[in-house]
Amino acid sequence: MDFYEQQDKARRTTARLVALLCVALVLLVAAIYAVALGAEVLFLRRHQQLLVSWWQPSLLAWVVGCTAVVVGYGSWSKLRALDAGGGSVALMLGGRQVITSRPGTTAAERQLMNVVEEMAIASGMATPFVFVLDREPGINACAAGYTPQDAAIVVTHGALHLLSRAEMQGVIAHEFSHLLNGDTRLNTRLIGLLHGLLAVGIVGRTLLRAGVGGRRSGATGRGGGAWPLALAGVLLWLLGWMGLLAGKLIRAAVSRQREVLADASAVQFTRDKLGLAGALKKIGGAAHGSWVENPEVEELAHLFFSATAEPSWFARLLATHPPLMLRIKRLDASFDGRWPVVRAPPVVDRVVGEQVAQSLDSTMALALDPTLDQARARTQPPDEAMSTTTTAATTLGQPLLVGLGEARHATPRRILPAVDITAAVGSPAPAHLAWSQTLLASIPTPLRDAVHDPFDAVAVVQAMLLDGDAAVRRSQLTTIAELSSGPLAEASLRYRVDIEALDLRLRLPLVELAIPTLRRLSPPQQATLARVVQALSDADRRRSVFEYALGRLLLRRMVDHVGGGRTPTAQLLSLRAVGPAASVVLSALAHVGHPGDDEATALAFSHATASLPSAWRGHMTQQSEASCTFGAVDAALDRLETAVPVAKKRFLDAAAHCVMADGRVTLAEGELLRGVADALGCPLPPFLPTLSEPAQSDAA
Amino acid sequence: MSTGLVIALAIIAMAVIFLTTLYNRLVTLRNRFKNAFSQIDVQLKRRYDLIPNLVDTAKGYLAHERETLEAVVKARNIAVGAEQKAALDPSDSGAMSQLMGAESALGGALSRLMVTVEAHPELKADRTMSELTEELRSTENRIAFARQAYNDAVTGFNTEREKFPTVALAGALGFTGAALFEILDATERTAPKTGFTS
Repeated sequence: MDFYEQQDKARRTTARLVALLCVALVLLVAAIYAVALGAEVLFLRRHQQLLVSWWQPSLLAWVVGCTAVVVGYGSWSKLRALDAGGGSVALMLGGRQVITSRPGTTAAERQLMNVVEEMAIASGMATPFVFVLDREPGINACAAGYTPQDAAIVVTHGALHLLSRAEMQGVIAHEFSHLLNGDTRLNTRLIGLLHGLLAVGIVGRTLLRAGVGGRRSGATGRGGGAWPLALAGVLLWLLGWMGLLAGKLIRAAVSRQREVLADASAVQFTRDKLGLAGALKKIGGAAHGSWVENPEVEELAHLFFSATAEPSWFARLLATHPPLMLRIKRLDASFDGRWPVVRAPPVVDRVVGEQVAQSLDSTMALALDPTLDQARARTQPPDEAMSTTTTAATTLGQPLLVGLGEARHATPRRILPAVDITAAVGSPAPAHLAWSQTLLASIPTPLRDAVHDPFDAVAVVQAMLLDGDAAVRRSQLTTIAELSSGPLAEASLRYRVDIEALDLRLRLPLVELAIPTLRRLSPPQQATLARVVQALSDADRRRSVFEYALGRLLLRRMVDHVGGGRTPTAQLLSLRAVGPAASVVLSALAHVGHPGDDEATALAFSHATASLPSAWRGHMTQQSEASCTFGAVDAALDRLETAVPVAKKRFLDAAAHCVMADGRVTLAEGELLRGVADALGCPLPPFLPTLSEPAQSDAA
Repeated sequence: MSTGLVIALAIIAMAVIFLTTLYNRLVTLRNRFKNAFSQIDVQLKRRYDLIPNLVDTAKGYLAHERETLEAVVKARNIAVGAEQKAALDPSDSGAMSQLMGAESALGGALSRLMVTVEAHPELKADRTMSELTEELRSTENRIAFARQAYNDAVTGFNTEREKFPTVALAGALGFTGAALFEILDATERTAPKTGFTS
C-alpha cells in the first residue's frame, strides 16, 4: 500500500472512529438519562409523589444538552491545545527541546539529532523538532503532530543513553513511519476526541466532592439534601470511567495494527531488522522497561513506541501495542527469550561502513547534473515595468527564469524510471538513507553547526542568495543591513565563502536542516527574513529556480512557533478541477528543463500528459514560457494542494515523467520538483544516482 | 425548569468557557516568552564562558591594569548569578531587572577592557586575543538577535494582557506585566565601521 493509499485509509479510519465515538456517546447519554431518572424517582418517592413515566422529554433534553456541552467542550479545548502541532504535545509531556547549538549538549544528544536529520533528508521531510524527557528512565519514544511539517519526536532519557546508534535508528525509523503513514494525525485527533469522554468523569468527580463536602458542613439536615448530589457525582464518575474504557477500546483497536505496520515500514526504511529488534530486546531487559512515569502520558499512550505502563489483567483487550515478544519474534525469529544485559553503549557518531567511502564526486553517474550553474544563466530580458520595490504585482509578474546555463550534453546518465520516483514518496528506502548520510557528511562542520543557531541560520540562508556580481552583492548587503541589522549582513558575507565552496546539490538540503531553527524565530523576525529573502531574490532582477524553491520552502515550512499551520483539508478537488493548475506547473517544469528549446519542451510535456488518465488529458494544455511566471506557479500549487491524494499522486507521476523525458534530471528540474512535492505535502526522497540498468530495481 | 434558570446556567457556562480560554491564551503567551528567554540564556552562558579565557590571555600583557581585569571578572560573576536566578523564572520581573543591571555593568566593564586592549598593540596582535575578541563580538551579535526574539514574545504577551477585558482579570489570575530585555550595551554595533568591500 503506497503513501497515498495510506493517507486515504487513515482518513477513512478517522471517520469510522468518529462514528464509533458517537455510538459511545449515545450510550453514555442513555446511561446518564437512566441515572437521572433514577435520582428523580428517588427524590420524588421521598416526597410521596406519583410514579413518574419513563419518557420525559424535558429531562432528556437537559441530559443531552449538558452532556453535549461537557463532552463537546472537553474535546474542543483539547483539540485546540493540540492544534499547535507536535511541539505542543511534547511540551505537554514535559519534554526539553534538543538544540545542539546550546553549550552542554551531550554527545548522545548530538548523535540523536544526526540520526533524525539523516532520516528527515532521506524521506524528504522537514526535520522534526526533537525533545527529550529527562526524568524518564524507561526506553521509549513518541511521534506527534498533525502533518510531517509540524511534527515532533520525543525520546526518553533511558532511550537516549541505553540504545546504540543502530537501535536508535530503528526506533526513529519506526516513529518516522508513523509520521509518513498519517498515523500521528489520526492519533492526535483521537486524543482530543477521547478527552471529551474523560470530561464527564471529571464533572462527576467534582460533583462528588461538592456533595460530600456539603454533607460534612451541614449538621442540621442540610446534609440530607446534598447526598443526591454526591450520589449523582459517583454515578457520573462511574459513567465517565466507562466512557474512558470505551475510548480505550476504540483506541486499542486502531493503534495495535498501526504499530505492526510501523515496525514493518521501519525495517523497509533501514534494512536493519537487528537494530529495531535490539531496541525491543533492550526494553525487555531494562529495569524500567518502556514505562513512562508521567501520568499525563496515559492519554497519549498510543503515540509511543512501546507500552508505557505495566499491563494489568485488562491488558489484552486494551493494549495499545502488540506484545513485546511477538514484535521481537517478527523481526528476529531466532530470539530465545533471554533478555540482554542493558548497558549504556559508547557513543559513536560516525556512520561506519562502505557508505562513508562514497563521496559525492564518486565515479557514480550522478542523476543531478552539477554542472548546470544557475549563476551563469541565460536570462530573459527583465520586465520593462519592474522596479526594485518588492510590490506583489511586480514580483508576481516576473517571468520564469528559464535560461539556466549551458546544457552540457554529456553522455546521458542512467536514472530511475519515473514511476519509481513517485512510488518512493512516503516510503524511503535504505538507499535513500545511505545517500542522505553521505550527503550530510559532505556538508562541512561549520555550516552544519551554523544552521542550528538562529542568528547563524539566518545568515547562512541569506548568504545563499548573495549574488556573484560585486555591485549587486553590495546592494544586497545594504538591503540586509537596512531591513534587519548590520551584524547580520556581515555574518552573511562571511558565510558566503563557505557557501561558495559548497556543492550546489547541498544547498537545498542545508536549508531543510535550517528550517527547525528558523521556526524558533519570533514571528516579526520570520517576517523580516521573508522580506529580506524576497528583496535579495529580486536584487539581480532575475529569479532563479533555486531562489523560488528556497522562498517557497521557507514560506511553507516556517509557520508559527512550536508547530503551526494545519494544512487545509482536502477539498475533494477532482482531477478535472485542477487541470489548468496542473498544466501550468507541468509546463513550468518542462520549460525549466529545456530552456529555449520549444521542441524538447513540447516533448516533455506530452510525455507527462501521456502518463495521465485519458479523461484528464483533454484538459491539459501546454502554457507558453511567458505565462509560466512564478506567481502563476504559486497560485497553481496552492490549488493543487487542496486536491485529493489520488489526484496529487497522478500529478506527481506526470511531473516525474516530464522531468525524466530526456533521460536526465538537471539541478533546476530536481529543485523545482522537490519544491512541487513539498508544496503538495508529499515527502519526496532525494534523487539517487544509479550505476546500472534499473532492470531489476527494487524500488530505488 | 424555568427559562430564567436555563438562561442563567447558559450564561454561567459561557462565562466559565470565556475565562478558561482567556487564561489558556495568557499561559501560552507567557510560555512563549519564557521559551524565548532560553535562547538568550544560551548566548549569555557562552559569553560568560569566554570571559575568563579573555582575561587570562590579557593578564600576560596587562599586568599593571589589574583593576580593569578584576572589574571585568567581578562583573561577570555577578552577572552569572543574576542570570541563573532569572533563568529559573523569566516571568519574575525583579530577577529580570537585576539581570539587566548586571549585564549593563558587565558591558561597561568589557568596553573599558576593550579600550585598554586597543591601546596595547602587541596585545591586540596576539593571535589568541584576536580570536577571542572576534568570538566575543559574534556572541554579542547573537545575544542581540536573541533579545529581539525575546522582546517580540514579551510584547505579544503584554499586548494580550492589556486588552480589554483581559486587563481587568489578569491581575487576579496572577499575570503581571513582563519586562523587555533592554541593555545599554556600549559594545553593540548597529552599523559596520567600514563599508562592504567585495
